[in-house]
Amino acid sequence: MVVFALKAENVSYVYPDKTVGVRNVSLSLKVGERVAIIGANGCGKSTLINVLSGILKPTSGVVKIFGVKADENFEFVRRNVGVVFQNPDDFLFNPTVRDELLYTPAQLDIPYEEALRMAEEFARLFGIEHVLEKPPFRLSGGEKKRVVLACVTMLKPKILLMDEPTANVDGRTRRRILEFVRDYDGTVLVATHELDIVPKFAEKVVVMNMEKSVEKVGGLELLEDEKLLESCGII
Amino acid sequence: MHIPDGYLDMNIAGLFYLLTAIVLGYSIYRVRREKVNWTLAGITASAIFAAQMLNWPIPGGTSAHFVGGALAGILLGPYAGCIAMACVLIVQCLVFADGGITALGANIWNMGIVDVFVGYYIYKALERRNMFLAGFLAGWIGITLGAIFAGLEIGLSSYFHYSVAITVPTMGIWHALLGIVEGVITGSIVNYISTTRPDLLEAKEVRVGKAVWIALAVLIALSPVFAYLAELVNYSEPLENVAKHLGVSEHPLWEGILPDYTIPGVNPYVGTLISGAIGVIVVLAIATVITRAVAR
Amino acid sequence: MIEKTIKTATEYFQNFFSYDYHPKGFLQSVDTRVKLVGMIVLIVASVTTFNLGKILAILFSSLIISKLSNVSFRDLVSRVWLFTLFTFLIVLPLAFVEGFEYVLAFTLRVLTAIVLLQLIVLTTPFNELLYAMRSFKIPEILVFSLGLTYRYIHLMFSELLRILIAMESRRIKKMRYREIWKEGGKILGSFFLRVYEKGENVQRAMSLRGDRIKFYSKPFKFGIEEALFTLLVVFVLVWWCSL
Repeated sequence: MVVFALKAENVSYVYPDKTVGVRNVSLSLKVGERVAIIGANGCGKSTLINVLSGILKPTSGVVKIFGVKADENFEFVRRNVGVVFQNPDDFLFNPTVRDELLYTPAQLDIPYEEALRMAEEFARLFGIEHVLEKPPFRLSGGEKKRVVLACVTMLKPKILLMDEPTANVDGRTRRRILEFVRDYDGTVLVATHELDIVPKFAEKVVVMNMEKSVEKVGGLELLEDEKLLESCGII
Repeated sequence: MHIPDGYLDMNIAGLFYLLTAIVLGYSIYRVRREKVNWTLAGITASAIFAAQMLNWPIPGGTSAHFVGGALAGILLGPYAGCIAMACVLIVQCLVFADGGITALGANIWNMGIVDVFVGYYIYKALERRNMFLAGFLAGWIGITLGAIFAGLEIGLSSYFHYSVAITVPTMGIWHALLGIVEGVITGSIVNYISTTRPDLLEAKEVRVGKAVWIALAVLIALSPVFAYLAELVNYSEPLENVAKHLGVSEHPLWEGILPDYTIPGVNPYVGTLISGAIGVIVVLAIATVITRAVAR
Repeated sequence: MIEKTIKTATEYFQNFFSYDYHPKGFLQSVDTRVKLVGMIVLIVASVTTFNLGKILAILFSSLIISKLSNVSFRDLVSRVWLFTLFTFLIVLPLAFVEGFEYVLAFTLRVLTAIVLLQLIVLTTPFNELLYAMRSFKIPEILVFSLGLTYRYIHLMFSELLRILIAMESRRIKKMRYREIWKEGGKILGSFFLRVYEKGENVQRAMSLRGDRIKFYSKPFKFGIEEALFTLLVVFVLVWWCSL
């Protein structure tokens, strides 16, 4: 039996005020796959990311990470699934970038000196060493995105879920992020409404419709299917 | 309404640090025990901070500022609200030098405890009657009472030679007027939220037990009495007292350092002058050493 | 309303960024814990006396410290003059009762304390203060909430300003005061709803990244700078006692 990196079976999520977030979604991601979720605004992409990462507990259905139920082994899920939020300001909540990079090692009880070394190493890797002492709100949009990526990849998660990673960034940062996604050593799922970036990294496409569930799963050829995309409100 | 350093003597400042530590400490204990979402306290604190920067036009061409203690209590519950207001005041003190560091305890007491708890209880008592009215009275009475406490503190302080009979009416009347803006704003916010997201106001986590309620009310009500008693103890100049105990002030330092250069029975004024001059020289000398050390 | 608010805010936010823009000097290199204790001792010493000589001794020392720390004198004056003047005017009527020396001493005490507090503010980044508070055993929840408060102030204010500008751009009639307050309250209501949602998002991010409240404590540094600073404080105290 194949173990999928991530598998969702008939997952639904209803918000406390009875708004439906996602309806009956089934998805499976093989190890190392690069998948794009496309859909119109308000079709449930962000909610789906939150459910798949275990932040929101599905109202019905099961999410499995490497065969383990997401709500049963919290720590296993956290270590293996990295999530990049749409808005970096939600993600970066520490007073300075250095504290931001030290946050994860602190959670893992890594000694201070080694944590400092790790922080510098990842800062170098993502080209943010010049902003280490700055508070996150002083950074440019591109710098914030890079800090988020550095923080997320510090744990070396095997699965990366990204919500609109290229929203509000300039062309150059966008290219860098797409290259990062393409070369990432693991499984990546990207939710986006920008169709032109999809071929640059993905081999599989999930199309979501306005009923907040999955319309169709397939290869890149789905991007050519104008009828399908139009019925889902994407073009 | 932020009291700066130098207005409160150390008895009053110390007393209010103690009282604040008790209530704030208890709030933190409750928030931790009941696993309240305290992330929200930090974020709401920054939002209240931002809202405080707005200048509301008032008749007469000046402007008023919103304080938001009662609002914090209503939105977050009294315990998390108290933490949020403490955060606002500590950041204002340590990042913007707004409000003194010795007066921090008193400032948190007035705006982060009196305003929050009193506002919260008024709101709770009236919320079923009328949301706007409940918010209005919570904001208005909360802020006025906070100001009256500030007036009491500086009035009782032995450093500030205006008596309570002047400071309390001045602070009270002025803030009762400004407080109308606070009340209207708090009322509108509460009213708006109750129509759009009533669940936020209803899902109020922490149940405040009756015993705690009474204990807190008594503590708040009696704090001016404590302050008055603290003044009677008359121990307001710790360093001066230490100096007296060590006998330094009876044998001025310059006498120790320069015994040969002083004529016995020298004019004390000249003595002070010499002492001052020597101090200046020594400080400058240390400064030079530091400059060298740092420049290295 | 908007113009005045922006003016207040820019003045305020200058403090926010002030640490970055100043050249580093002596006080910046002293361990925050040592610095905090020393400066608070000096503040207490300055406010617990009405002896003009003692007050001037500390004021003089604090100005020397500011010089060593490359804090520009003009900047310092611009930050303290307004409040000093305010204090002076408040106590001025007491000159008839208590004599002018009281008024002068009272004002100078307040001035000295503000100068010292401003020196802490100008030479210490906020996260250093948070580390120091942790070492002083202040509860984590409070320290972490403080970090969040500091982190999000700027964001919250720009959000609020965007809402205000939107309101202003759609306003047609001139409003009465009461209308402005009520309308403003509604806008603040929607602002606080957004804040609530932001808080939920941050809570989520925090639970993703691990929500144990945990801090590194910085290794305590007591080198030559700390020794010199302590020496300076102790000397000023002895001098203070002898005057």
